[in-house]
Formats: sequence, C-alpha cells, structure tokens
Amino acid sequence: MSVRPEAAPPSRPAWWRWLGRRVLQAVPVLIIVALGVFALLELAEGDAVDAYLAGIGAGDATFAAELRERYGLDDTLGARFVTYATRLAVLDLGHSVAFSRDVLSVITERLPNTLLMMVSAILLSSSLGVILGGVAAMRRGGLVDGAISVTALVLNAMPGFWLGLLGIILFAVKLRWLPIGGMSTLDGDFSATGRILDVARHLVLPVTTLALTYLALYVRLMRGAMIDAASSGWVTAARARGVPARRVTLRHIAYPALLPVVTMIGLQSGTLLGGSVVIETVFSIPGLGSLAFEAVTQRDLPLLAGILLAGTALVVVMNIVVDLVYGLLDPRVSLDAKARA
Amino acid sequence: MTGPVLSLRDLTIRFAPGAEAVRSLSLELARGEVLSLIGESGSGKSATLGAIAGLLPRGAHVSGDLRLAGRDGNLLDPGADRRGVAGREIAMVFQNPGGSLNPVLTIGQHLDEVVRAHRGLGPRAARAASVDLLDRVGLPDPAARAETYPHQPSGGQKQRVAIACALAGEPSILLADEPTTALDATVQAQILDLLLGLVDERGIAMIFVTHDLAVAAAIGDRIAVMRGGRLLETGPARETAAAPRDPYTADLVQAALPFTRAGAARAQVGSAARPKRRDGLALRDIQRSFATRRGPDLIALDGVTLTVAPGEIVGLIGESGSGKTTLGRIAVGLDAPQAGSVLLETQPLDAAKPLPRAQRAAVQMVFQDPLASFNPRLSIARTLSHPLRIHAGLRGRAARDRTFELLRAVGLDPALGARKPHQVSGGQLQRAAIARALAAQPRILVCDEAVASLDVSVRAQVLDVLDQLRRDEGLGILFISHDLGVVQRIADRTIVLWQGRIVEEGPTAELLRAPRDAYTRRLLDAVPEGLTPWRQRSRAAG
Amino acid sequence: MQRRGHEAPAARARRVMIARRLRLTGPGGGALGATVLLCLVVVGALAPWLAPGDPLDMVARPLTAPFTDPRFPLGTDQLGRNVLAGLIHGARVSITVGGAAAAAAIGVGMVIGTCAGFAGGRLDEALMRVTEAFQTVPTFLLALALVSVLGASAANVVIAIGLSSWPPTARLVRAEVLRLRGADYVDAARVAGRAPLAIAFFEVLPGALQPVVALIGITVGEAILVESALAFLGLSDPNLISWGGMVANGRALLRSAAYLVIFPGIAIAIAVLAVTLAGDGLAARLGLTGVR
Repeated sequence: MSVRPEAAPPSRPAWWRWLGRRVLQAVPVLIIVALGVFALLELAEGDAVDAYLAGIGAGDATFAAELRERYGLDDTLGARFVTYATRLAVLDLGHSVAFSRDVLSVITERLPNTLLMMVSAILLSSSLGVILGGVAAMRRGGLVDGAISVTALVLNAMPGFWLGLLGIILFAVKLRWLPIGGMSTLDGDFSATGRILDVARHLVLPVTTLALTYLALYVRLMRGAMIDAASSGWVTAARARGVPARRVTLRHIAYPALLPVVTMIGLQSGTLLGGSVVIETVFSIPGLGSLAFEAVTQRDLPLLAGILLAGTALVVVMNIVVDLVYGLLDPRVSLDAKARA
Repeated sequence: MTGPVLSLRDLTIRFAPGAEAVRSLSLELARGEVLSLIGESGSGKSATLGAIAGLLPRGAHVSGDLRLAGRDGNLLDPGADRRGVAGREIAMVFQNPGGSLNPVLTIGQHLDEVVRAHRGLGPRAARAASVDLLDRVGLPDPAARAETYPHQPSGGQKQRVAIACALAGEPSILLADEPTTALDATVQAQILDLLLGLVDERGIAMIFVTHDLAVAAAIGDRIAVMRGGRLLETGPARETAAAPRDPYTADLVQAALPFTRAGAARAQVGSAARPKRRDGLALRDIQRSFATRRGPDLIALDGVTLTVAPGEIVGLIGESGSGKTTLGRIAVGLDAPQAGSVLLETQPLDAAKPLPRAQRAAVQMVFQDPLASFNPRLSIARTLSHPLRIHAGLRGRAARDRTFELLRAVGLDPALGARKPHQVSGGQLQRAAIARALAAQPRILVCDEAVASLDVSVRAQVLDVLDQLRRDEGLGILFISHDLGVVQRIADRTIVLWQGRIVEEGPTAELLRAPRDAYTRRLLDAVPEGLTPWRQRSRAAG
Repeated sequence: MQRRGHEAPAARARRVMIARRLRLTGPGGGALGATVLLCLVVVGALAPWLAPGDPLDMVARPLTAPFTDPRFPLGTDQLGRNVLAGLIHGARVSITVGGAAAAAAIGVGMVIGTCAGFAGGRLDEALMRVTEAFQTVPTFLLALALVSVLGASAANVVIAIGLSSWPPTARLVRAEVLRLRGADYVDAARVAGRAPLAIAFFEVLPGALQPVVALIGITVGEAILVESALAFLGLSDPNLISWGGMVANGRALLRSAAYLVIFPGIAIAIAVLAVTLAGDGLAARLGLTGVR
C-alpha cells in the first residue's frame, strides 16, 4: 500500500479558519432554533410557576406573583424575549422546576450517557450497514442480497421501543444474559475495568436496538452507492487496466461509496438523537432522552426547552465532525480556503 | 512482419435474445498497425471493443473466436483464461477521460496499482515507474502531478493520465474508444500526436474507434466501417475514404463534411444571393463575467461585437470556455450582458428587462441537445403550440394547421407531432426544434451546436433545412459550433472566438484558406485536413 | 457552463438515496404492500362493525391468554380488554394520524421547497436556513415538545409530526426546481415567449413535484412510527386506543404477559412495512426508481 500522499495538506491556520467558518455557518441555525424554542415556550398554556405550584401542591396567588416577578414572567412579550435572549447568550438555560436545579447542570450531568450511547449506535449502525450493504451490492440480485434487504426493511419498520422490549424479553428476562436496564449496576463493587465492562454490558441492548432501527438507511445507501460506483467509468477502466478484482472492489467501488454514507451520518444524527428518547426511556438510561420524557411528564418547560437547545447544539457539533471526516476522505472538498472553479 | 497480433473471427454479440448488437464480424490487426473503426451510434463498434477487452456486461451473449499472438486458446470461449490479458496484452483508453479516473485516488495511485499488478514492483519502484510513465505521456512536472487528484488537471491532461495507465502494463494492443471526442480540437491534436507517437515508438497495434471520418482517415493505416452490427468494408484508410465501395460508406463520406482548405470554395457555391440589405441582429461591445465562488471573476466575454444580417449565416467557432455559448444566450435574451448592447434592426433590446413579445420572437434559438430542449411530458405539437399562441396568436384549428405546415417545412411527417420527445429520433427532434423556433416567425436564429449531438448522416439533413430557410425566408443565422467542417459547409462569414474575444473574422472561405491570427492557425492545424495522413501533418507541424 | 457549481456532498448523498434511487424490493413488493395496506384501511374503516363497542371497555376476565378463548383470539389485557378489538380500532388511529401527518409534512415541504426554489436570493437563503434549523433539531424531540405544549390530541399529534418532518421534502423539491429551472427545455420555453408564471407552474413544477412521490411511502411510514412512539410515551389522545399505547400498557407485564407487547408491535411493523412497500411500488410504476 503506497503512502497516501497529501496533495494539499491543510496548514494549521487554514484548518482553524475552516473550523471557524463552519462554526459561523451554524450560528443562524442556532438562532432560528432559539427563536423557535422561545415561541414554543410562549405557546404553552400556563407557565413554569403554575407547574411548580401544582407540583408542590400549593396555590398561593401572592406567592405565584412573587415567583413570576422573580423570573420575569409577567413582562411584555418583547421584554420577555430580551430576558430570554440575554440569558441564553451566557448559557443560562433557566431553572428546572422538577429538579429544583439549574437546567444546564441537569443537562450536562445527563449528556455523557447519551453521547456514549449515540456515538456507539452511530458507529455500529453505519459500520454494520456498510458491510451488509456492501455484501448485498456485490451479490446483487442473489439470495444474500434479498435476505439482507428484507431484513433491513423489516427492522426499519419496527418501532424502536418495541424492538427494545423484545430484546429485554429475550435477553434479559428469558435468557438472563443482559441487564434489564440502567446504565450500570447500582451496588456493584468493581475495579476500573470491571466498571467499564459493566457499563458496556448495560449498553449492549439499547445501543443494538438503536443501531438496528436505523440500519436500513445505511444498508440501502451503501448498496445503492456501490452499485452506482460499480457502473462508473473508472471501474471499467480499472478492469481494462488489469487491476486485480479485489482491489477494484475495495478501492474503486467501496471507497467512493463510503462518501455518501459519511454524509448521511451527519444528516441522520438528529433523527438518531430523537430516537434515543424512547430507547432511554425503555432501558431506564439516565440520559438526555429520558430527561426529555421526564420534563414532559412533569411539565417542566424550561428543562424541555434546554434539552431542545442542547440537542440541537449536539447535532450541530456532530455535523461539524462529520464534515471534517468527509473533508479528509474526499479530495474534492478542500478544507483549505482555496477556491476551485 | 509475422502474423497478426490479434485476429477476430465471427464475433456475434447479443444483449437480448434475437437482438444482435454485432453480427459475425471478423478482423485482424497487424503488429504496429492503426485500424480505424468507424460507425454511427448503435453500429456496434463499442460493443466490439468491449468483447475484445472482455468488458461486456455479464448478461451479454458473445460467440466467436478471438486469438492473440503468442497465446493459446480462444479468448471468447466461456471458460477462457483471460488472466494477464487486461492491461498487459490489451489496454484501453476511454472516451471520457474524467470518468475513467477514480476521483478519490491520486493520479499516482492509479498508475501505481497498474504497474504493481503487471510488473510486481514494490511501492517505491512502482512510484518511480509511474512518474516515468507520466513523463513519457508529456505531463509537465510528473512527480508533483502524481500527488494530485483527477479533478484538478484539464481534460487533455486527464486523457494523458489515462493513456499512461494504459501503457503501464506495456501492452501490445491498444483499444482507443473515441478518446478525443470529448476534447477540444487543439487538445485532440495533441492527444492524437501522443497516441501515434507511442504506437510508432513501441510497435503497439491500435484499434481507434471513432465516429469522425476525418480523424479515422487521417490516423488509420486501415479503416473498417461498421453499421448495424455488421462490418461493411475494410481497406487502406485513405483509399477507402477517397473511393468507398459500399454505398453507405459513400454516404458517410459525403455527409461527414471533413474540413479541407482547398474545398472551402465548395461551401460558397451554395451561398445565396443576399436579399436586400437590412439590419439584422447586432451585438455591440458585449461584456459578461461570472462571479466565481472565491477568487477573481471569470470573464466570459470581453468586448465582443458582431452582426448577423438577414439571409446570412454567421459561423461562430471556438473551443470550450471561449464564451460562445454565453454569447448565444445573450443574443436571445436568456442572459444579460454587464455592458454593451443587443440591437435588433437598430432598436436596442434591453436584455436586463423582459423583452417586448415582438422583439423576443424575432430572435429564436435551437439548442444543442434536442431531447433536453423539449419538455418530456408534453407532445411535440403541444410544445409547438406555445410560440404559435404567444407570438403568432394562433389557436385551435389554425394553430394545428400551422404546426403541420411547420413540421412539413423542416421535412417531418406532421403525424410525429402527436408523439412525446423521447419517441422520435434525435435528428427528427432537432428538426422539430427548428420548427418550434420558426413558429415565432423569427428573423434571426441562434443555433448553439445544433448538430453536435447528431450522427453525421443526420447532420447533413438538419444543415440542409437551415440552409433552405436562409434562402427561402431570409432568415439570419448565428451558427455556433466547434466543428470546422460544419461551419465551412454552412457559414457565409466566420468569427473565431478565443477566451472571450473575437480574434478573427471574415468570409468563411478566405478565413479558412488564409488565417491571419495565430490562434486560428493553431485551431486549423489541429483539425485533420481532408485525407492528409496525420503523421505527415504532425511531422510538418512539429 | 459556469452556472452549475460543484454538487454539495449532502446533495450527492440525497441524490443517491432519492433521485436515482434503487427499488427497495422486487416487483412483487409493491403489490404485496398495497394489498396489505388496503386490508388495513378496510379493517380500520370497518372497525365499529368488526369489533363493535368501545375497545377500551372491559369485556372479559383480565389476562386471558391468546389462542385460548375463540371470542378473544388474541387474549385480553390486565383490565380485561379485548386485544384483537384494540388492534382493529388502533389501525384507524395509526393510519389516519400517520397519513394525515405525512400529508401535512409533504404539503409544507412542497410549499416551502417551491417558494425557495423559485424565489432564489434572500428568501431562498432564509427559507433554507429555517429548513436547516428544523432538520437540525432532533425530529422526535421536536414532536415531543410540540405535543406536550399543544396538548395530547390526535389533531395536535398530526401538527407535531407534520411540523417536524417536512424538511426532506422541502429540500428535494427545491433541488428539483433549481435543476429544472436551468434545464434546456425551460430556456426553450422562455425563448418561445411563455410567461414566467406559466413556466413555473406548467414547465417546472410538474417535473419538480413528481419525485416527491418517491418520498410518500417513507414519510407515511415514519409518521406512523413517530405516532406510535408518542403514544408509547403516553402522549396521544387518551380517548383513542392506539397501538403504541397498547405496547406501553403491556410493558408493565413484560415478564408474565409478553403477548400484550408483542401483538401491537407486530401490527405497527406490518403497517409501516406495507406503507413503505406500497410507496416504493408506486414510485416504481411512475418510473421514479430504477431497477433493484
């Protein structure tokens, strides 16, 4: 294997400039989402104070008024927006009624679990999809192709929560191989590696469930992209040049076909994060998704708003990472600022 | 000379039962020989190459006998051992140089893998061999070029890379499938020089597939003419082209319109006596540049001035990127110049604003690709009805009668009007496109490469229609083309556009016989002239 | 020549997925999907006659096991409700809510995509930023937040799903409009003197909207899945029985009565599969997808 030559290695300042530009591109999106979240909060009947008072079972009107004033809830719409925006600008996401704590701290506490699950699920789903899609494409029209495509289709049609429950019934209840839920064994007494293995054991079912429900997309994409690439001129040309078949498959068909898959990971990350809400709820994993469910059941709007914003930010970050990976894989996209007409 | 390096007997290819793409075709190729294989689209010439190279799709049914010198066995046998044939005995160069290179691998990686597959070299030695190959095909700074990706170099350089890949296995046979069709004339000349140089230097035998009779006759030692899957005739290239035995070949030669400096006079015979002098279309000092995403603006047109008088056919020739298409779009109001004016009979057409209907109708256009220029969901008659209603105010029965009349005027059966665009042939559709342009009763017609996508035999029919219109209706035509032979045949006056500027203009015959500008001369030198062998030309030129 | 820029990576990925999409299954898939879908629609429509009475009423001894009592072939739940009756009535909710939500999403997407594609310039830029924002917010989180704010009724679920799943349609339509606006035949129509509005509505739009058909099956399937997930989390109309809600209800008895979870889940999967296959078959019939 020859050393991959660096045609135009992005120099360090250029790299930073690229990152800076990419982050700037995300700003309008974040602003629109923030506006949308504000509108959502305004749309809600009753406010956090009502929910809070209902929650503690007390209904003193003067107390309510006092609370509203403290949180700036009885100002005009414009003033409320200014308050909202200025607080958002310093990452103050407000106060969670349900947890009686700062929203940001609740979210940051839950974020790592979701991140771990999401990244594992994405990696599993895309790599499995690439392999199965690749095999299906190479055996196009055959039995293996049909089996893979049908399996992917059926998995895609199953609701994630149901697939998760089936997994619990089979692997946790009947076979007792895996824990029924949670992120770790509560009273476990483990060494460091033991703790990692314990978390991994807990994550097997939820991550697999999440990955399987989104598998179809990657299978279909990889299969299509491989078939596309296989009919390209450069594959015919490589065959005519006598390049060995294995090498044609890997370098001329599979490698270019990976590019749309990488792009899809970015496009798909938002959907996957959304899917984690039910999965985390089913498996009682203390993450962002189950937090969203708690926020809904407890009518904790500031928390729900915070989760929406945090989730969006997470997707934005994932997309930047994906773009970066794409830039490294596809020479036509240069991270350098150079323009090519 | 020993026996042939390649002999093919009774090749028959079927893609579907009963439909033979190639029927019992036999040919031989001697060492160091260049065989030009010529035919129109659908003649089976590409399928023949595919069968020789072993690249036909799995479903294709192939029978016949293919033998290579120094190798036992029939390569077309179902279980034939083809190992070591692809790239090593038989190499191939394709039409679209960009498409034959994988966009995510560097040029060096493309060569390395072929060199390593055939010569068993290690990575370093392979790269050294690759750089050497790039040098041999005339790429400047080959070591640095090897590190770049295929999207970076120009089309001609990509084709050089593809040729280098083909040479990497030191083959004795080179199959070239229209390798210069996608290239500009001057670049085509360089690639032909390169290919013939390599053939002569290394004794490689080449089958050169083309639809261009002039190129085929110029570079081939022998020529083989195919039609409908059959080999019509083969013979020494120049003799066959000069005195074809087969009537179809004769038609092909007649229609091919190879460019000849001496034959320039012939074009003038057809030129009509000018009708009374009126002002036609005038473009004055047209400036047009396009913003690129970063970097300086791309200047497409830089102060271009031209006129097209009624009854006159003005040829506009130039290579890709010369700005000729943009100029055509500006002339019909599809694009607006940043400076300069478009005048019709001395009235300014303000291209920036919606044109008054009457003026818009006066300049009509025929596009390059007939299929793309018709709405696929509408019948031809329906598409024709729009300009009839808008510009001629015809509806219902009157419109239908006029549609029939127009279709007949361009030599089509009016019944074709009921069909959808994909249900008629390219030549018929392009004539329908002319009919559509005529429906608006224009005084000026802009034809943008209007015959470039058509087979040569169909080309002549379309050109005849245009010539007739000019003569009968006094239509002024701006004929944009890259094909000197076509321009020579049809244009009264010719304008040469290069990098957004007019470098030369004058009566076609004069301009082609005695070009004054250096670029025009380069352009003319690049085109195979008449039946002069290419090797003589390149020796004379270089 | 210079008018067309490089294709963006995201656009390329989407093109592989949609524009030159390969068929999901062979020719039989579409017919099978359409047949099953038709059956589901008929069952849903005839629910009051097939399973008279309120499916939320207690009709038998709680937790009758499936395949034991011919009157309740799929058994009863912990409140003695007929599981089969629940599934029959649930078909109604899933298919109407899923269909309506997908229709809303596709409608919004078509309008926004068309506007962005034709307007160009600032409006296009603004609309595309909004689309991007909606695509960036995790879809299900948005639907969840909308339902929780608007209140859990069938109509609000439709609105929530519609509002959260329109971006793919909008992007597809916009890309098609842009592509066709630059097509030769549109230029030819301009030269032929057709009015801009006529070109927009008669030359560009029919072609640009056609590929949306290829999205219908997938969008409806997604909508059914989102609806069931919302119902599973208890965010659906409490007065209507739904498959997702039935799964949630059975979850408490996962160890003892797994069938309460399994049956409604199968129903959801069959419905989604049928819709996806039928949509794929429809797209193939219109020539929008290639061979498999």
